Amino acid sequence: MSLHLVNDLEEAYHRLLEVSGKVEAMIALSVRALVERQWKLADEVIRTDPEIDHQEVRIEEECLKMLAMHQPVATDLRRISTMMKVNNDLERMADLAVNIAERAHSMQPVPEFPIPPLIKEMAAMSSSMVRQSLDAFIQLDVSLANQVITMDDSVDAMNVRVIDELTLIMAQHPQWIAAALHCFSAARHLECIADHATNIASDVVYLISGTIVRHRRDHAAQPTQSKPPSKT
Amino acid sequence: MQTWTSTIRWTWIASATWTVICFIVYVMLTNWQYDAWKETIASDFHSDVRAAIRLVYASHLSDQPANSPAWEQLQSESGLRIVAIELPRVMGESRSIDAMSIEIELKAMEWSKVPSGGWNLVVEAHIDQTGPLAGVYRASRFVKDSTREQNPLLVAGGLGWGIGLLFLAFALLIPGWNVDQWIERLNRWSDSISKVRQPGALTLLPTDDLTLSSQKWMNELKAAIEGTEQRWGIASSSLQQTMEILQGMPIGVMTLDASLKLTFANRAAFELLNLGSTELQGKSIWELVRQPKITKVVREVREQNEANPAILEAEVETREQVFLRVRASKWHATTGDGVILTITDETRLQRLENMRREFTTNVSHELKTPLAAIKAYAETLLLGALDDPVHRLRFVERISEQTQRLENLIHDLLKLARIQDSPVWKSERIHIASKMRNAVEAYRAVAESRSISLTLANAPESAFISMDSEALVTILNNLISNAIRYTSPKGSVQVAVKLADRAMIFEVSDTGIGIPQEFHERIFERFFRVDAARSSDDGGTGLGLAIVKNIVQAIGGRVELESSPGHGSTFRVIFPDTFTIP
Repeated sequence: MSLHLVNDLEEAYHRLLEVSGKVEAMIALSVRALVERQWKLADEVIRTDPEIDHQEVRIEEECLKMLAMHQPVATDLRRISTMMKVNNDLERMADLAVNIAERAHSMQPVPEFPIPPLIKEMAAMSSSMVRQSLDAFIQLDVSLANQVITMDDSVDAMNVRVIDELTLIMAQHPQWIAAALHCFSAARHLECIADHATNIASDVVYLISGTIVRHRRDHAAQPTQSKPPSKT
Repeated sequence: MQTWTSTIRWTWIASATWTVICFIVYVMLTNWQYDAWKETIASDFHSDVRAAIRLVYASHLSDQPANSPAWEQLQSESGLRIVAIELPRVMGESRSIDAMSIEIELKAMEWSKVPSGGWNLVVEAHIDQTGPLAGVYRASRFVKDSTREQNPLLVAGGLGWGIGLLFLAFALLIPGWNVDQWIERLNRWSDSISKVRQPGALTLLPTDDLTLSSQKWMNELKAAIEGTEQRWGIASSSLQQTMEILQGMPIGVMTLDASLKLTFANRAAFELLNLGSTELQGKSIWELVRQPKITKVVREVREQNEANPAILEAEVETREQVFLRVRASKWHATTGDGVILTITDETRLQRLENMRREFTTNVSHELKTPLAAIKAYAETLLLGALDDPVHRLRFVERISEQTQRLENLIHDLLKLARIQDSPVWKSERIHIASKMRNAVEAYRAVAESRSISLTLANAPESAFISMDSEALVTILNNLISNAIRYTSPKGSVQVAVKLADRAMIFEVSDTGIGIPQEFHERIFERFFRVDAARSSDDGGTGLGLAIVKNIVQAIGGRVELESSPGHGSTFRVIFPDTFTIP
């Protein structure tokens, strides 16, 4: 790997990690805005989104520049393509956090609406998946990535239960239908965040083992003979 | 002996110098002589070749076969081997050859070293290339090395070199400079140097006269080494102490190099930033901490170019809801400008600040609400309601209620403030059963007005307690009034006292709305209501349970809550056996 490629990779990698920290913070704030009904936190999340969009474009441009100028192969190529995918997933997660913040705002006029406790549990699990998938990306830890992939089913199951609970609330309290629908949207967004965390984990497995594990029923990758790429 | 030693030393130096000079001169002369010899050999060879070629032409030898007697004779006499490569075109006796006039061109001579010794000289002779006599011959001759003549200067140089070697050997063989002793001394010196880090391990050299100067040198070296060891020990101890201080500090300290990679982090930094236990040395700040505010301030500090760079701060709330203040400053290390981070835990300060802010907001709200009502009713009366006999009485009653509410609120606020100011609690002998009966009777009318059953379930007549009487009354009044307030009509409130392991337990149970588990801690906060939308017109100030908890904790007891939505609540105030009087 040439020195120029090493430096460019490191710069893009650090920028990506910085964005990942901001996206994690956005998700945490949007969930608190929803569950604890802190509307000001929702405003902060919405304000942060344009910067994430800008950084996403910048990181992608840097990755494309590296591909064009250095024509990397093997592990370097996998690393850059993984960074592009993670970058894209992070931007989508930021958008979903904004959506949750907007749902929190929409529920402001109905402070008495009882948000199902399962939403909080689901939010905690989704946030944990995001955190662990990024930890797996940094530490190049396949076992941690596989753990994240297996957690997705739990989040999906929680989403189904939340929908059932909200349906019951809507049936019993028609005055809360609008609030319940906002809550239902928020739950869907949380489930999508978990899906994106799963994508990141799958990308990590690909980065380390060269195996694409997306869309597989058995999900978790088996240990391979491939040597993981070295850190920049 | 000093003089003798000095003589030996100078003799050694002089003979070594003479030996070197003679050797250099000998080598130069040898090379010069050899070049001259080669030139002579080459010149003779060329002359002989020309003569032989002319003879070949003059004798018409080129017409004869190469192994003919004439050829053999020519080669024997000239000492050459001649081979015709290209014979003249004109052959036979009809040629009239003037051998002395033919032009002979000799090409570059080749010197080939023969493995058995000597040289093989080879040259090509091109004859009269423009005429009928044109031909090419190759001539070769073998020359031995031993034909070199000895030069007198070489002999002199060799003798000088030899004499110098003799003097050198003589100097080395003198006692005291014996080779064996020399080797032994070298061994001893190398052992001494290898034992540098062990104080006292240096051994003294033999004290014979010849080694006095080396002894002095060793003593100086030993003193220097011991001094260095001492300074090393002090520095090492100082470093150890500094590391222990850093590791024991409650403040996190991290250092990053010029590439913002971790070089050091103390225990507190690991805990506060939740860095984990894997090997982290050399990881970049972005890999260690995914906190945008921290990475931003680190980046900004590093990019400062001022002579006195500022210390930048960031306030961070981690995912574990710990509030950290991170200070970053530039660090001028030998390998480049790095960054030092200090991290302090300000969770408690932040929570206190949040509580203060919340309290101020709540108090303002709680004061403004009755004041707004009083103002509204008063304005209505002034605008004409005074003349309305139907409504004016009701308005005045409302003003009176709100005024009472304000008074209760201020009273409770002051009470809470007094409790938190660590008052002096009295110790009075109190008959429990009587006190309980009084408290229940005080609220019986209120309970009956709301169709709530209020009973004293259990109160041992023989039980006494030693505590502040007013504090106990406040506790009971607040718990009973709370229970009545949150119980629906036709419900019940039960008050009891139990003795368990000599501890005294006051219980107030109700069949009210109940409290969800997640609010069991918060229910004792000032102005906290589970149902935020519930009106405070029910008479409560929102401070009752906060007052109960503060009093109980201040005098050494504890409060417990057992409750769930739809199943009522039971508040228990437990005083340990030190309060009971047998």
